[in-house]
Amino acid sequence: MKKEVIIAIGLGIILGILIINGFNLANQASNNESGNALQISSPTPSPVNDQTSQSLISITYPEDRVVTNQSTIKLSIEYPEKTPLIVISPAGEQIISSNSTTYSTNLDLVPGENLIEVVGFLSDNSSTSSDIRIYYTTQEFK
Amino acid sequence: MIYSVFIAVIFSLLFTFGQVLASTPATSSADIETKVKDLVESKLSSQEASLNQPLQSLRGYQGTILSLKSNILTLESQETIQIKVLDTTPVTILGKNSKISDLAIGSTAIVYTRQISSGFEAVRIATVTPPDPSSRAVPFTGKVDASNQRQLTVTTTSDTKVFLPSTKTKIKLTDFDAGDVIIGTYKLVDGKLYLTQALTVSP
Repeated sequence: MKKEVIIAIGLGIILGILIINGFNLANQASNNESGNALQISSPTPSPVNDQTSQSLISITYPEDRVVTNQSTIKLSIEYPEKTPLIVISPAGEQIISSNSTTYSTNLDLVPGENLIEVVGFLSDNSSTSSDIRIYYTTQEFK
Repeated sequence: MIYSVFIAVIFSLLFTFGQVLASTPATSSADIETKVKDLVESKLSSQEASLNQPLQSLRGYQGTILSLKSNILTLESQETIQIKVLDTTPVTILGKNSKISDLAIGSTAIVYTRQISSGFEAVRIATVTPPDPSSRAVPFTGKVDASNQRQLTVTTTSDTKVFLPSTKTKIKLTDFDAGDVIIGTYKLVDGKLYLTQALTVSP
């Protein structure tokens, strides 16, 4: 009788551990799934393609030739000189400043092609520039 | 006997559960709130991403149509590119629904493309009016020579420019003093330079 009870207790403990492990595995799988969803929702912007290699200005967002159905877009720029930059677009011109090497501004877009040109002037009055094209359309795509 | 074994199993199970629960850190209501918030945000973001997915995979090319042969459209953009078109590719000519066969060689078009294994495939073609380069602003930098309400004289590296105030901006020419180094933009209209943006970078 005593022997059977000890075996039963052992079996109970093993069974309990197995069930708890099952719960833990299910929780882990659920966490991984929500992590993947977050990754999809925030894609990493990749550098633009249309910049000359000599330009000091790097437009980090959005990508060149991107298509959007939004009438405004946030432009992100990296520029080591920390001096004001001129942003020229079909909707207008802006001069933007930053205390760091990262610049950003919101741009209004016109329907169709938006050639966005970013120009900086160096201390010797020479200029450096970079440009991208953004396409704004409200048409539907399948 | 069987009853005793059954009771022993139940108690052992309860004991194990109790041990594991005791070792698990308690989840505060703030943690639960954060988790729920993250979950809702991730669901909303993924829904938004899925809605924008067709656009995210597209790239636009504006240029002149050079040729359209055997379902290959050649477009002169910054570079000359060849794009596969289908008879069913939606086409709008200056905003009106049309057919591929209505596209005229030499017309300016925006071709929305999707990358395929053999290159690009058009998903929509829209002809547009060619852009007017003269309407685009020109950047400059220089030193202010003189300013008054009607004009601003600036010496640049190449020449001396006289800017007039633009009615489309709120820039006051009198905000700039002689000797200021400025950067800005202007537009050339009927041979006159209109200042559209300007900022003093050093006095």
